[in-house]
Amino acid sequence: MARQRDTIADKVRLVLDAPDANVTPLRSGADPRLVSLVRLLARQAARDFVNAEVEAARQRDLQD
Amino acid sequence: MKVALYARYSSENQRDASIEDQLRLCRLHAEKQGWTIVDSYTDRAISGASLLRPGIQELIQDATRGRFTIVLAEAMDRLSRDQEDIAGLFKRMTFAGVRIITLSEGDVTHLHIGLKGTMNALFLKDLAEKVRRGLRGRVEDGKSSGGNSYGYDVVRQFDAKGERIRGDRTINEEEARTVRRIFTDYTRGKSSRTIAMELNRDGVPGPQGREWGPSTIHGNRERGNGILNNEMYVGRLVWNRLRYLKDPDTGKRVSRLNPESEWVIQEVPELRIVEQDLWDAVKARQVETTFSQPERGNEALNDRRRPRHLFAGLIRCGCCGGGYSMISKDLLGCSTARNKGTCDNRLNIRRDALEASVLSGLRTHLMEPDLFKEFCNEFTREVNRLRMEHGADLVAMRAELPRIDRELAKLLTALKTGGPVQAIVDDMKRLEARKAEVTERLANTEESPPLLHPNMADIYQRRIASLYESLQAEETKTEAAERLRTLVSQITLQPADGELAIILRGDLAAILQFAAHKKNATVHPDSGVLDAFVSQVSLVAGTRSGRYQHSLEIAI
Repeated sequence: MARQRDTIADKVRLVLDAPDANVTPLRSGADPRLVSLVRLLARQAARDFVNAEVEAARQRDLQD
Repeated sequence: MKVALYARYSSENQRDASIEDQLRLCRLHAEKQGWTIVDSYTDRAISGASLLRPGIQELIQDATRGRFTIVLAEAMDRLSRDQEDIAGLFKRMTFAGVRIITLSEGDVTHLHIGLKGTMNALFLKDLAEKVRRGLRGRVEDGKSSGGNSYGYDVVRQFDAKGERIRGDRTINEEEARTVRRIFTDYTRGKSSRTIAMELNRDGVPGPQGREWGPSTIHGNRERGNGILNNEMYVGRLVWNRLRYLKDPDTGKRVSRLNPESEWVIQEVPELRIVEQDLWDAVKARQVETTFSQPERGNEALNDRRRPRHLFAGLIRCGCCGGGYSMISKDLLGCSTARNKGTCDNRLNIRRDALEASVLSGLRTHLMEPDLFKEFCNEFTREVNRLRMEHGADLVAMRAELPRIDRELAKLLTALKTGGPVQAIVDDMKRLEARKAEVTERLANTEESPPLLHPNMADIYQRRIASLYESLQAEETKTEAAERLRTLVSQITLQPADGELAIILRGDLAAILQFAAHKKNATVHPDSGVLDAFVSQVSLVAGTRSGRYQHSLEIAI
């Protein structure tokens, strides 16, 4: 049985499909799920930041 | 007093009218007491073994909002038969200041929860035992314990008294031919996927009139499911191979394999469809083609699983409505097109390109001032916490040094008084090594690292710009995926004119839509960020059949 060849999409289009009702009243910043996502990114950034601080201090000590 | 009524019926032995009967009795009681009925909540034909019922969930929500102060039901078992659930419900209602009153028990108290809860749980267990006893008897009589396999028809007949005689099956000749065809094709070396595709091509309806898929054919040999493993086709009725449990977290029924000694096997030669030689040939090929798997033993099943991707289970094919699943390490493709051959959509998409496309819209939105403020607050909190932790480490190390010295002194005394030399020397060596390590770490670590002054706006911008990479970080991957998935209800992939439209549905689409309207943007401000995947990005707006739509063209 001959199978069709698979192809990989080289062009995509993002279409936002939302019911009218949801469009106007949403106050984006207040969405708790987005807030929680942003907090997660903040914790990740904080960890990287503190690690960089500690590493910088260690390097300085090695030079001294 | 504001009161809410609750009624439920479960099995088919109870009628829909039983809900009305329960509510009528409750209404009468409420009127007699002079209470005001604010609402009534019902669950029809749903078991009381779990709280995953829409009616009871709505009741709990409204109780916490303070819509009423009393819940009135006919009896406690209407609310739940599960001990844990009834106790949880009681706890939540008490917290919300709501009393539970039933016509049978009156005001429900802790005593009722303990005693009646146990009795209701025992009733459920007892009922399950009785049902199983009945089914076992039926199987031992050579009758079906329920359900019907492909290849057979249910015999509808009545006894002299007009009572229905259940459990008899007869061979459906047309389906039996298909079963034989599947067995023969398999022994000729065809894969279950090829067999399924050919059956669909020939328009042969599968079980329950659905299309054929590979797993319908090959099933699971150990569990005895799938056409190739159904022993009924060689005249053997096997019952109790699996037992079913309810997952307490999801409420879903899951099956577990019973030991072979517990299986009940009954010969039913009149239901044989496949000759023994053909069956044996299939079994032999199954053994040959089974991958040699390492001993499962201690290896957790999860270790063998491919990790779930960000939008797993949410992606649908726009042509057939089937799922888009991982068809290789990096590619997503239409499962129906590949497994059943009934869909022509062979356009695949790279998983990372799809994820990045969806996240590209989100990134712009995350630049909102409110969210930036949240980021700053959480960042500061976490930095402070980590610095304190770091400081605590230093304190602990400083306290450890005199302790090591004391231990060494004791060991020296023991050595002088003739203790076991080798053991003491070994301990001393270990302690000396630790002392050297702690001393060195203390010498190399400053009291607290000099405070760098973070440029928060810059950090935030960089995090958002590399949102896709940030979400891939191993330690936060699952958590981030869970958060994002709550914003997306479905992603449909629709091929059109050589390109693939990613139709995003759910709150994320609404949020992005709102943001796009607000900004009235004509050019997507994120262009250039997704260099790895995207060479050109633009935002255009339009409407379609009453729904607002924006499309973001991305060339990958």
